[in-house]
Amino acid sequence: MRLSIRAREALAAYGFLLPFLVVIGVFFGYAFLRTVYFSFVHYDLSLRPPVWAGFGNYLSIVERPLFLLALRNTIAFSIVVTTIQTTAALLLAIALNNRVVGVAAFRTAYYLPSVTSSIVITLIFIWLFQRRGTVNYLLTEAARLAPIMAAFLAILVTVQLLQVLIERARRLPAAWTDPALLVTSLLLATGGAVALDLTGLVTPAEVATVDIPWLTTTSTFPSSGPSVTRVPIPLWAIMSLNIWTTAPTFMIMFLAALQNVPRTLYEAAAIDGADALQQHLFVTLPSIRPVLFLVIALGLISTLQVFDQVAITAGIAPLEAVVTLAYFVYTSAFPTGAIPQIGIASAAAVILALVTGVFVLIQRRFLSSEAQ
Amino acid sequence: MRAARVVAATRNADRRWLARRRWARAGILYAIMLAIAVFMVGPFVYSAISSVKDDATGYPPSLLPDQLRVRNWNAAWRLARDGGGGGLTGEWRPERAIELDVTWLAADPDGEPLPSIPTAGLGTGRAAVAEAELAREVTNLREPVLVTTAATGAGTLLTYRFRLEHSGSVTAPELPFQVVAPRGWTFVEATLAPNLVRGGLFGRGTLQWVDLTAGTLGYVFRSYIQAWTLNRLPDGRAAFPRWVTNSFIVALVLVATRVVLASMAGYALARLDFPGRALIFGLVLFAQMVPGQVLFISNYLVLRDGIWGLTGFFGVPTLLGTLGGIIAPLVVGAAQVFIMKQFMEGIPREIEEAARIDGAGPWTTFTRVIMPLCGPAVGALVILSFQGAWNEFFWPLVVVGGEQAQYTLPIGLNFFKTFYTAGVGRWDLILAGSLISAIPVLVLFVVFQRSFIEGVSFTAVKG
Repeated sequence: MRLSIRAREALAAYGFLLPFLVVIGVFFGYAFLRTVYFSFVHYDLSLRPPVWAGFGNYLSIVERPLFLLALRNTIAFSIVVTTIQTTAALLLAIALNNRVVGVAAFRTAYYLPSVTSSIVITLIFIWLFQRRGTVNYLLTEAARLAPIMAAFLAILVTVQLLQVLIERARRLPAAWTDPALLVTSLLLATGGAVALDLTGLVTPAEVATVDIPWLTTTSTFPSSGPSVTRVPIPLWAIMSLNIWTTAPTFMIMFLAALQNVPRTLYEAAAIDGADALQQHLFVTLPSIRPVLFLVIALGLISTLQVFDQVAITAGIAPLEAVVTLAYFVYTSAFPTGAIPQIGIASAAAVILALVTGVFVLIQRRFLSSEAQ
Repeated sequence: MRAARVVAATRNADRRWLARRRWARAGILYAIMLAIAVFMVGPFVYSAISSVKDDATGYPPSLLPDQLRVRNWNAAWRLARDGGGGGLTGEWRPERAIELDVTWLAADPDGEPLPSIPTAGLGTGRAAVAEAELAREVTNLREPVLVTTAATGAGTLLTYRFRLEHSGSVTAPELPFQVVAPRGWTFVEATLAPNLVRGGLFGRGTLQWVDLTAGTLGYVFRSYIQAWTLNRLPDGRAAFPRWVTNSFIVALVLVATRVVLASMAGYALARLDFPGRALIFGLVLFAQMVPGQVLFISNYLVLRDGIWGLTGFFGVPTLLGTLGGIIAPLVVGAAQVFIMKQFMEGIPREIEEAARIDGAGPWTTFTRVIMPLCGPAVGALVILSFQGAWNEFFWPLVVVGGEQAQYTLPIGLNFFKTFYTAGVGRWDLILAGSLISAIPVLVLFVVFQRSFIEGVSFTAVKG
């Protein structure tokens, strides 16, 4: 019996796909369905069979304070981190999109945080954010040197203003941030600030050592207001860690997109009288819209799932200050010194999947509708 | 003519003015980019510097610890040579003698410093104590000799010379050394900077050297050597090298399986026509969105039962706590299939049709025609897969549980964190271990940075 050509092609295709389908079938499809099933039972991983519970897990989970905290933390984390890291990635890409000598070296350097693993970076950040660690030291120094920095800025602005006014009086078109004048202003401001410091006219402030217990405190920022908006300080530390790690990956994506924007568009805008900021608003942003939406979608998805950094800091930071949905699922399934609660864990996991789906749908609906 | 000269002069002035602006703009751009680079690379450089410090949590933090001073490199070299070994990593050999100068500022020059070979408080673990006891057995400590005295406004500067002689017949790998100074003496400097400086102002001050004959490499990279050797598995083998091996095995196996299996699946989705194609592609898209936390409970149970007893045929009752268990679900994933499919769709159909005319079946077309053209995509996939597998944290955490010998590096480092932050803490070990684990991916990145970055850009442009 000869098979038709189409049948032979289909057979070959499934042959190619078989390993992938098997792996995905067992470790994704079956796993997904099983988790949904587990969310409707009580089960503790022992030989005792699961007991049907209907919607009991879902009803009881929304009454657990730890779950609600995890939900709040996860959503706040996702929104803040996605916004900041998308913006930072775009700005970094714009900075790198210059054809100057050595830009490739800078690009390599900027991508470095994305290369190493979450454990390495989290350990480094735990060490930096210690009570007597580097971050607090830098903050103390910044507070101590504030008067000198203020003097520096004052001199800078004044000198730049004067120079621009002088140039304009000479009928030369000087922008307010003219680079050549800015260099002179910077040099004079540095010299002036050093002179003021040496002569003792402006002295460093006497400040108490900054002593913020970044990772061990339960206080929040903002420290008052509705509890939904009060994000714990350890979570802010983890957010900064996450932004620092993932922004470079998205920066590379934006860079690829920026390099595909034809220069002629910028030139046309410049002829029409647009300055740099306007060019970016009206030429850059619309041209990279597809990549922008991709970056936002990827950012939302990955920040909703944040686990590694939380698991690593969980021994040091108070649990309610850093718990996220993903970590809540894990600790419900494998609690240290307690009975596993697979039903609760699965219900939380299903909720996490639903939240992810909702966020992606919202992003698709409101942000890419114009792209059609 | 005067008008022409004025116009020419004005044009020159304009050109110079514009040129000045260009140079200034370039300069400021470089300055900004440099500042950003400091911010991005700074934490790594600073942790590398701090990983060699004796006390990585000292306050205020310093950028130039003893281990990075050339003076100490030379001193460590000289002392190691005096001890009879090489200058890079020394030993304490029979019939050798070492001399060490230490300077104090003494308010009251009465009293003598007291040298000894300590057996406690240096490294951790029984191995360090045994080596210290061996050193003590074979070393003869001479009386310290006052070499120079200098009176200053704040007291007297006293320099003592200590002489250690090897009076035994066995080579000792390490030579720890300790000096306890009388009360009120402040430590100023020594030939080789001590690893520990304690007390002094209100009690008797103590200076400790972990190993006088460490040699330059042994002195500078002490924390790295200790991170590699100190931690022991229950059966006595060193833990860290084992974790490195595990990580390599997992990463290399996953790279191989992913390249092969994702290419096959990607080819089918890109070029072959079959019922259910759209459905499977939809599955590929959907699967990339689902977080690992939704799937791990079932996968954990599947591994626990040995994939429904299948692995029982190979004599392995359960895949939990094994490297195979880590590898199994990660063997091929939707993201890799997606990358290969997108790339293969860019290959012109004419090439395939030519192969088909020549009578090639799907498998031959795949292996002989398509795969050779997939170099860039395979390169990007190899790098991204290696990086992903090497850095994988959540799933190995679930699988290996407490089985220390099967930890991969990320899990091992997490264990380091718990183990070495207790009490005084050895952050230098934690940082050293972290940086060791970052080296393979960093090397890969530096060598193949073009492919790394192309791989990421490719996802953006085609995704």
